[in-house]
Amino acid sequence: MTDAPANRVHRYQRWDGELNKNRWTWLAMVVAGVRLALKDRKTRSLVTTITMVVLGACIVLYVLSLLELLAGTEQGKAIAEFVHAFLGVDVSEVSRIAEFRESLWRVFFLLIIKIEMFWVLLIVALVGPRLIASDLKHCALPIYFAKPVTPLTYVTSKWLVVAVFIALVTFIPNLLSLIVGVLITGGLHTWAQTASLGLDLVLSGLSVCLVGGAIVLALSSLSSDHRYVAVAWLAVCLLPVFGQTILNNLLPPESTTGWLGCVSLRDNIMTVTDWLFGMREALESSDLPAEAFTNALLKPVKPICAATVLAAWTLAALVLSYRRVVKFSQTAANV
Amino acid sequence: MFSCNNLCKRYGRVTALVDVTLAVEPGVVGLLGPNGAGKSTLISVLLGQTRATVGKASVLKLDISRQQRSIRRRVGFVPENDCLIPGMTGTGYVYYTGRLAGMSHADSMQRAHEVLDYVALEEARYRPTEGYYAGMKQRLKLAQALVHDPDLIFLDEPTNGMDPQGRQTMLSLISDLGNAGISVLLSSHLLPDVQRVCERVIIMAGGQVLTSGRIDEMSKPHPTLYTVDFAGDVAALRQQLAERKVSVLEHSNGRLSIELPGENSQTAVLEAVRASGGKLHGLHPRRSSLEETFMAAIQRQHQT
Amino acid sequence: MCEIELAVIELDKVSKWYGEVIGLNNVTATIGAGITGLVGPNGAGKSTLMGLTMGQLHPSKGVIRVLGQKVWNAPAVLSQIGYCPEGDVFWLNLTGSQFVGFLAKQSGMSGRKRREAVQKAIELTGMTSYAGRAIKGYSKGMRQRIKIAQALVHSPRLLILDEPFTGTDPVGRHELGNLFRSLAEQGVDVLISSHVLHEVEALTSQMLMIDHGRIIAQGDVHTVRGTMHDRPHAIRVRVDQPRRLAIYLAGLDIITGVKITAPDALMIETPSPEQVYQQLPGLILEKGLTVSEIAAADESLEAVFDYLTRRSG
Repeated sequence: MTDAPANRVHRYQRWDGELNKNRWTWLAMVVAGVRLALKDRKTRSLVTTITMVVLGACIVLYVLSLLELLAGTEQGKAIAEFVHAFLGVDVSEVSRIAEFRESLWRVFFLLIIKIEMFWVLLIVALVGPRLIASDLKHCALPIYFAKPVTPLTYVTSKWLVVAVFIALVTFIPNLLSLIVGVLITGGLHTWAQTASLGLDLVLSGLSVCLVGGAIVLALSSLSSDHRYVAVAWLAVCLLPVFGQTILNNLLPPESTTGWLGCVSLRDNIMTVTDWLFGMREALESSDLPAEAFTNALLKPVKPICAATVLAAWTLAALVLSYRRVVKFSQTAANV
Repeated sequence: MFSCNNLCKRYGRVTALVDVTLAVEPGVVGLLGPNGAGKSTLISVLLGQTRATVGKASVLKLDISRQQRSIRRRVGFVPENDCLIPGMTGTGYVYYTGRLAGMSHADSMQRAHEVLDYVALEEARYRPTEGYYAGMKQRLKLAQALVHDPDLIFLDEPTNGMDPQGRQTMLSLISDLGNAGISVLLSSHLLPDVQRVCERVIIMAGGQVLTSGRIDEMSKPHPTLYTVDFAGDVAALRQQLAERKVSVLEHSNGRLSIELPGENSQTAVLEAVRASGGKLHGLHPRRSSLEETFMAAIQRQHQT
Repeated sequence: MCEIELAVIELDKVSKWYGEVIGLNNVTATIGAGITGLVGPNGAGKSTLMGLTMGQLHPSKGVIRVLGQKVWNAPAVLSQIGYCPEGDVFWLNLTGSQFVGFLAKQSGMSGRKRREAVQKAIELTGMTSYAGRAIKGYSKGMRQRIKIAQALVHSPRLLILDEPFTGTDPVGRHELGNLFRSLAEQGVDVLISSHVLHEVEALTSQMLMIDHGRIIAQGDVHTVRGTMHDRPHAIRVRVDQPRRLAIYLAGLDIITGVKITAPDALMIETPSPEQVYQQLPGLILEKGLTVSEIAAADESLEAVFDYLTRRSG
């Protein structure tokens, strides 16, 4: 084995094509980033698992729709009992389901989103840390910044890669199962009822993408070892949850409805999602058995506080990653 | 190919470039200097990655402070470090850098194979780059720099860690690029490599340009100082040389350093050899090698 | 050479394989005193040979003697060998002198003796002013130097240097070359591997060339070139009227080819260079030409190495 097969040198050929103005560079970077991340077996199996869960969600929706169709029959009662035993939701008055379908689905998706927060935690821990850290470790940044790539394009593209994965485990499966549910129940009526729900699902998913992506990006730009970044990410997500629990136990309930209730990122996202979904009002105004849904709702916190805290985190994280990348792009050639 | 005017760069209290003024014509040019001479900083400034503290410069007649992106569309860079993206194959990597340069999907893929052929990465191009050895990585990095057909490439230590055959291949690629009309700025610690492929050199130290110019002018043969490799009766040769007014300065193991009585009087040496009945294994005009020029330039700088 | 050649390293039918992969194949070689260059392409077996010499590897077959003794499991011999590995092997948080001091301790030195040895080794490699700084802040060239200092600290009789020049700048190369030469003059034997053939050639003419785990040539470069009878020799002549000389040369039966390579230069190809060297001065004088250079074009280590590796590959 030697460095060169032979001293065979082809003549250099010039290329007379045109370079575009780099309008689509970000897309190429996102595609490459997503493909690289999917090369990891763990990431692939997580994404597959989540697709399975989407199927599961569709089945639940299907059951609900079935209840609607079978209202009043013996079969309907049996299914209702099953649902009651399994989900703890009393749906015996299924004949009224069409009236509060939207609320029911909202509660359903709220539960799903709550579970999805855990998946987001995992997938971001798998995909996010390598984004910038790996380029730092392998000194790949000079490759980007010797080509007409700006730090802004770089940061945006890297952020979009995490965003794609967060979307893959949050609002994309949610939307899919919503569409399937709508198709099963059928009818324009259902469409009209659930259109705003679809929008809310996208909005809540995008907020997770924005916040989670920005934070992991900032962490990734701070170290060249992706394992440290993964640990830091888990710490940033999990420690405040414990902190919030301790605060809630120490302080009187009314004092944790403001800023002091906004320690945990996950809780903040859930608060904002609750507010987006308008769940609290919907429940309060309906005559549904409210105790069935208390699990789905958090302790009341002012949504404006939660949203402000999230926005502050995101902004700080994006500014930090951008500044780090600018710095690296300048010291790309070592002095 | 590029020009700089009073270029200065300071990092806090460290000064990396001091008043660099240069006008370099297109061609294959070597950039020499000890560690910390400011070579990498100069390249970084010319690529528009680092902003100069003071001064102006232009690359391919484009201003570095205002036309950064246009410059980067027309230059390629082979960095010193590995700079690979783990998980990518050779082809994927070059394709990707083509996309970064602003090529379309189809152009980039086609051109990636073209430049991989050029650097002679055969089936290895379909394997992940992590398994490449030093020489393959260097050639891959060259392919990456050439993918968008630049008019100028910067090479930072491209032969580092390569075995003799790998170095030769790399050097012939660089010469060929020069012939194809692509300008090359080759930064290297290996003076023989620079001597072999470059027409001109820039010697830097301590952030300053010490000398720049054509290599053949720097290592012009000395008109009267020669070295003779001789096999035979050395005493007889010395006598014959003395008769012809050729003075022997040094002698060891059949190698004689001589000084001719005047220019174009090499004939005297041949006559002396013939008269002594020995064999003339070599007659070399003394020329200062690039290494001597380099060392002399560095020493001059230390003295001032 | 007036002193008696003493074999520093002796390999007797040594083979080394790693599982199924062959590292060194039935090698018999003697490495004498002074500086010896070890050259070969990547994966040729250089590191295996070095590893065997230091007793780090056990030969699968054959015997290897260093300074007259078997090296495997022989601390007495090993303490006389200094080794500078190719890769980075550092505790990055140590300072240069701590690093060298630690390794001096490993080779059994202590107290004032150790301090002095460390200081001397660091001084030899020109690292005195950086010895107090942590290694992680060192440039590549400084790392090489501290690695060499570490190999020198116990005043070994044999130095094994694996690519000691990698990453050092021209000034550093020059200084290290001088250091190795002066060590050799003081009686330290040096085995040095390098990919940069000019540098090895500047240090020594004694070479050991290996490829595919076999020795393809050993000894003086010019002697090696002389034994390659299947290759016609090339002689470059720089002369004012190459065409006239070429016409005349073409008529001689000892010359197999003449090529005009530049307006003032031609290349002679011949199987018997000695005769050409004998006759050339006369020929040039008879024709009244002015010659400015006569040189063997393919006797450099690089040319010889190129021929040999192509033949063996």
